[in-house]
Amino acid sequence: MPGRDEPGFRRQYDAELHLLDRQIVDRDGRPVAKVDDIELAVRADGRLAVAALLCGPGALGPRTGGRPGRWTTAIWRRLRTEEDPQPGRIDAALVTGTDNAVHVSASADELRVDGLERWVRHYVVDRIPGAGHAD
Amino acid sequence: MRTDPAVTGGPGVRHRISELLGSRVRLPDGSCPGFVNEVRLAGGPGLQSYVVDGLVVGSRVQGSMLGYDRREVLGPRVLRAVVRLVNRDLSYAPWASVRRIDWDERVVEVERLGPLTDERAPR
Repeated sequence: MPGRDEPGFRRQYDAELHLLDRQIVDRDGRPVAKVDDIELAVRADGRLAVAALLCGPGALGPRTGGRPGRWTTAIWRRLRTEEDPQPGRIDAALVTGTDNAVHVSASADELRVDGLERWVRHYVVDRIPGAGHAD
Repeated sequence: MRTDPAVTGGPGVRHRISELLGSRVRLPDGSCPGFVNEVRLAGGPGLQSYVVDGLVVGSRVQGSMLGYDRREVLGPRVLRAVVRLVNRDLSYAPWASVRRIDWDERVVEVERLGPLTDERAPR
């Protein structure tokens, strides 16, 4: 494919165009989450390198900004049980390639980045009569 | 290429790419030609080896090329022309020209801006 140096990766990425809001797919082809933000780490040489993909309202809220973003973040914090909740984080080293989606080498269960979805499923959805038939 | 730690902060410091997107760009003469519209990454192999290669700068906070920055998207011509017109002022700040990033104030000081000559550029 033109513009690629190695299978699965582009020569260059425009972060917003090629990565943000893309679906993350696990090694079994199951959807995991969307790329809501990208974590950059300062390397020893001062360069900013991709460290991780961030997912969920804890990443999307601050990125959205304004009142909707603040509300999103506040509601997400309120629903989490941790004292200092952090957004879902997928280490960049787990990314095996990109196309229309971002592919990772782990399974969705191992990644555990859908904290809010799990919480809602456990405390809300599973308590609705008939929820056991959802699968 | 080594970057002065003052540009980005000390090793290990972490930021989000959304902190860069929309940041105001400032030139040495104090003028502000626009905002960071896109963050370009290059490197590899492996996503963890990609680094910020430069910043796409536009006069508006953010613009979208609606896919017309991809070579395979050519039509309809009218829409393509409109997108080109709206994004005609895009320029590029290579990483080597970035002098300092004020993460709190969301200001990126750059030495110079160059033309955007790759696939992102309006054609």
